[in-house]
Amino acid sequence: MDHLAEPVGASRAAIQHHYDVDNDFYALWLDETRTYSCAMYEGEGDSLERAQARKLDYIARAAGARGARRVLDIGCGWGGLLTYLAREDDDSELVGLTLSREQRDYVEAVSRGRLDVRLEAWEAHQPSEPYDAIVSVGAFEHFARPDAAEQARVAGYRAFFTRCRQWLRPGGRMYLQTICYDRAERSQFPEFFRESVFPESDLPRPHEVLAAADRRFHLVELRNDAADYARTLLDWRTRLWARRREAAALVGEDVVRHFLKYLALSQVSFHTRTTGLLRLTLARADELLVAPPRGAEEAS
Amino acid sequence: MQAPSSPPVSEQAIQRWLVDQLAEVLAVPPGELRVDRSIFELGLDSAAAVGLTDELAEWLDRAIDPALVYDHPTIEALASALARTSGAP
Repeated sequence: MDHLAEPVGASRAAIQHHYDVDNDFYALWLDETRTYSCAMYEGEGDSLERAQARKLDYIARAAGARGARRVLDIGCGWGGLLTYLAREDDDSELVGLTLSREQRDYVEAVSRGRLDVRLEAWEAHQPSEPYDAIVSVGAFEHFARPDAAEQARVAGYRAFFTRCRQWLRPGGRMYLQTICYDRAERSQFPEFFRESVFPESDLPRPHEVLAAADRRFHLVELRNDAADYARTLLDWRTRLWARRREAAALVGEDVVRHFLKYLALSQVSFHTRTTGLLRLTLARADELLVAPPRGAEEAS
Repeated sequence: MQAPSSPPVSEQAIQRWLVDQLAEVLAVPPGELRVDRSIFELGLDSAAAVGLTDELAEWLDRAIDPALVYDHPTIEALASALARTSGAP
């Protein structure tokens, strides 16, 4: 069932602007799992396919999603991670949320009902039972609008973590992967991204993510793998460049030119550490933590 | 080694091409461009640097890593790096 409530971050129209281009177009340059997020490379000669498989495995371990009975993927894209998990345990309940109709239709068709994919914003999600693991990869970038002040942005992120905590069973884990601003300030970032790549979306700074998760989750691991994203983007762009004529036949030359530019600018922004790539492993705070008693403060 | 689809372009030719392109983008006479200064200090922004990579790719008929300009930010260093990766003398 569709939940038509508009999300707090980027609207459906804004998400569909980017992701509803054409599924066949993305298939030309993404790996076969259509994983549209940063991979995890090892060594010089590594391939995009192996790096994406390694990333899926890393996420499954980090979130404790391997063999888990109920898993939620917030911003599931073309379902790469849920499909990966479905092979591991056929009794599991794998739920994905996306705002892209093309993605939802694709996952429903290829999974033949195995995956429960919903055209639904996280704000509208109401699970029937708690989840054992929650993952969210490349969605957090869309949770704040560019005109929001820091306080409002963090409040929005905090609402997200509060809901995730409620949806997890005690002891459950969450994996979050998001692009962040690193060396650059918001004002120094190319307008091109906000105007024509991801309208209505804005990136967090690392401290905003941590502040928002604080007391809802314990931080288990935090990595900044900007170099991995630069390499992923180079691999995507090299593939798209090689197949640019086929791509133009599908979506037109202007769209291909736009994507080549966006992939190159994104790569450069990770290469120069203008942006970073955060991978967070979080453990549910089983008691909502409150300030320590006075005595503890004095002792420290 | 795989044979290139088109004959390699010499380092000198690449440098001349870069000077001409950048002179046009930065709106300065080609003779005034210093080949040993960072093109970002000369006024190129990231969008223009990526544009330059695209023009290069079309001209050389091969994919060019957009980060190459950032790792070799002067005209002479970039020309040298491009010549090395294309097997030119």
